[in-house]
Amino acid sequence: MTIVDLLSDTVYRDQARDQLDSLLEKIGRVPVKSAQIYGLRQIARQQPLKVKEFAQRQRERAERRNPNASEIRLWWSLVEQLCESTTDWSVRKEVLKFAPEDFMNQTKRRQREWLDEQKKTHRPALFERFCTHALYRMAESETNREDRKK
Amino acid sequence: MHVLSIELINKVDCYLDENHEEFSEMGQRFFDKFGSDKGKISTQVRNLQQIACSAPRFADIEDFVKNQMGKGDKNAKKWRSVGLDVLETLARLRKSSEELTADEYDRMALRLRLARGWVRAVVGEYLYRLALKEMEKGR
Repeated sequence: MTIVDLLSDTVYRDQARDQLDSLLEKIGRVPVKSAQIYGLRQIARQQPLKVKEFAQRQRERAERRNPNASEIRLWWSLVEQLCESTTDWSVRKEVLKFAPEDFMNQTKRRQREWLDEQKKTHRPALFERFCTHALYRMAESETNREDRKK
Repeated sequence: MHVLSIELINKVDCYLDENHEEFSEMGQRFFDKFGSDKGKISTQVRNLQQIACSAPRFADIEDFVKNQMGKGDKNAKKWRSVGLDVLETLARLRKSSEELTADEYDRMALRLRLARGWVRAVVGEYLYRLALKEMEKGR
């Protein structure tokens, strides 16, 4: 049982659910297609260090296509925040809690290497929960819509 | 592998015993919803059992249920009719593990043990219902 197992089962699960639900309270629904969520999950599994850039690209593309696409912008901004934010909760902040004692005394390069190594295992764990919860919420609102039609 | 104390294991076993009836009712509901695959255990029920028995993380079991509910296939509708109750039960198991100990690693091992006990009761009842149905057919 590793620290990633533990965090994945507790902090990452809770943060993924709470951060997503809090966004959905503001914007009402998951604003991206399920294919994009599956894409995010794949990137997080296979290239975890690229998740932030992926989200950034998706956000910029959405902005170019439709400058009023604020919901999509908020969605991808949340993904970016979950990766790297230094102010709000993020995987980066979470892993730094477990940094070695002499972390701050190490060179910037060493610090980056250590952080990248952590991101490779922690990001997939978080985004596994995040994407599943998003797909679940999408299915839930779809069912509600169908029920209303009846 | 994290080793639990005998005391904690006993507490889990007591909890599972006390709630066995309620878990069995869930097995009945699974049988009503998923039925059987040509007289054999439904793949959906088998998959739930597999994941509950092999998942390294409790949230993987919760995610499995959410994923099944979120899919667009014919089984999603069945899952949606039992899924919320399953997720509620899993949430209760999680809470119980938190009440039994303060150690995070113990809690994680406990909730996995609880989930395995829960799925044993669910699948046990499901298989019993399946056997009864098959016996009826044979008469």
